[in-house]
Amino acid sequence: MSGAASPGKAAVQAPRRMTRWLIVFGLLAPALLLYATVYLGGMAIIGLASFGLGPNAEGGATLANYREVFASAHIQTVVLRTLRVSAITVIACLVLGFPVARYITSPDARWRSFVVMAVLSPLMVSAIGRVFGWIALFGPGSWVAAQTMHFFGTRATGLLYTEAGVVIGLTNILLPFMVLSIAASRANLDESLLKAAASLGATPTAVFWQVELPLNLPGILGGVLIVFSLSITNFATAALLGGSGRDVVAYEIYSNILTYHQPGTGTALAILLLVCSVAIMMLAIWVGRRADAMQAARAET
Amino acid sequence: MPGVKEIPQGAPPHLELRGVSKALGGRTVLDHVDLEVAKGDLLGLLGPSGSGKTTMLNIIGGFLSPDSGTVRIAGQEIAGLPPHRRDIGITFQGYALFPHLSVFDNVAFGLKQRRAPKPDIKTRVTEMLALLGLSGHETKLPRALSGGEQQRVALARALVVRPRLMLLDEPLANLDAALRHRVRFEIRAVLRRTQVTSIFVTHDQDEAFALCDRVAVLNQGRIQQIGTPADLILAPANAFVAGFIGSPNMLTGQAISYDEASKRATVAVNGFTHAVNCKTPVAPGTPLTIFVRPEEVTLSPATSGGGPFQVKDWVYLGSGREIWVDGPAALRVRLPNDAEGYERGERVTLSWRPERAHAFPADAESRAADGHDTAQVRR
Repeated sequence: MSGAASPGKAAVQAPRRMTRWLIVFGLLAPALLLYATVYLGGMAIIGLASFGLGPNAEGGATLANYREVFASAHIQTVVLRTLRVSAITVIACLVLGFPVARYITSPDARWRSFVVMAVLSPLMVSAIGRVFGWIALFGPGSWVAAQTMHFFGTRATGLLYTEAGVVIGLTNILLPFMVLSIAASRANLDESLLKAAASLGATPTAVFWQVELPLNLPGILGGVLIVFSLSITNFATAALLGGSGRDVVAYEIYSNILTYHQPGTGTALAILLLVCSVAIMMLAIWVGRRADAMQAARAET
Repeated sequence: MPGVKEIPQGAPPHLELRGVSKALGGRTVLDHVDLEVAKGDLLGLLGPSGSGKTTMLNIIGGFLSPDSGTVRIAGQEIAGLPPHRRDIGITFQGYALFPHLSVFDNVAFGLKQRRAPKPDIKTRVTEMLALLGLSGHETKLPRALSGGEQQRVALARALVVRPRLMLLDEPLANLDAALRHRVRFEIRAVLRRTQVTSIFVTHDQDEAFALCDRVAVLNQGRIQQIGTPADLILAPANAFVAGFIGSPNMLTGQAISYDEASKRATVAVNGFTHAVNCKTPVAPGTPLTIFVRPEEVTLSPATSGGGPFQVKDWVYLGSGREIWVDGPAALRVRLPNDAEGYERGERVTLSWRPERAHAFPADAESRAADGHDTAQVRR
């Protein structure tokens, strides 16, 4: 359509463009509305509450809640534990997930569908149901408990209510995200690059470290970030498998607000957690862009 | 390494395939292939898609193992060697340059795997880049290069390690037509200068002929003929080769008579009779498939009353004027660009030098027809 040449047609097209814009907006509106009210609204209330503002607030704006969060030795322990558990979960997902992603993207994977289903299956079970299954599996009196006690001399509870148990649980539910992220970046990995490397004398190990891994980095980075941000914000798994005395940030928020009725500390912690996740995301995007920009700059010289 | 043995008289072939067979997914892809390539030779491996070229390349490169048969380089059986220990340079159709490495690091890759000393790497990479006219591109990433430059980087990367053998898989397929002609000669020149034994895989006979000393024609997993381009054009070994090389006219007719001494047959095609070359003795009445290339056919205006053929149409094809005639058979005839006359509807007679038309008994026709169709499709 090259109607812009004649003014008559242009006039006809203006309202048409308007309609198209309205349709696009109309289709996006429900989702935007949902985010605006439920997400932004909810976060706004929490944000205000963390500064001592909002409904039912007494007194003016204050940083007291944040000061308390930073001063509390208990919260520091919880934050460190959350970071440690998340970091180990990320590493576990990466180590377990990479071979799986490698397999399901290999051209002659005979059990691809089965493996994909198996990897995704934890996502198809409700979080609570899954966790109660683990309690039976890891908990006191279970076979796993007996074995771990036998080999490692741990307490009678077995893996339940230990950090290791939390890491295992988190790894189980977050592994699909790592696998899918890496698999997506492998989908456009040119098989002939690996052949070329081998023909140039690279051993299978050298091919892996020098060609395959660098080319998979975007997928790995994506997977690491998704898994990390989902683990630092995770609630159900950590709360139920970790038990008291091993709680994580999300559980701390929950107990501060609902158990101890200290909404100030809880909301401040919630906002800090949000800021952290957003910061990690931004960092990831920045790293990705920077890598791209550096490549582009090298390409131009 | 038996380094002394391979030098003088009666030297064994540098690369030798003996009875190599391979089935993939229940289909025989290579069927008892024998192939010898002398040291320093540049052999073309020509065949339609699905003929087994890629499988052969993968077997020589070590990415597939043959079901039976042996593959030797300089007399050494290499079947058990993994690709990275074969010392065979390969250029891939899509070049397969490492996108995360600079031009320099791409070319240096093989030398680094061999743990060559750093100064050596620097010298050899720099030399190789200079040889291929790539100096000044060292720090660029592959995607900043044109297709022709990427092709040369791929060549430099494979050649710099001085492989025992080079395999070039359709190196020109991803280049545009103008560039293809130039790169063709660049590749030939570089391979000559480095004197590396090379196998050049292609489905394009012009490329095979332009680049190679000898060409092996492959179809349905079998080597149909190995020879110089002239051999393949002037003395095709079978109906497939005759139909595949040079995009000929294919006619069907019967033998009328056969002369053992000259190996000539007289054939009738719907009443039109002519002498043709026929290697196998044929009895009168034998159905024959006859191949004659458009440029071998001569036209002459019909004398009184009109010849058996009529000009249907004509076009300019750059390399000549192609005239389409119909009559007892439909044929394409190639004349020089400045050839005059032969307007639509004109009646003509046609002829060819008997030795330039090749007839084969039609029992081999099904296979010939296969090859002929493929040859037509890619045009």
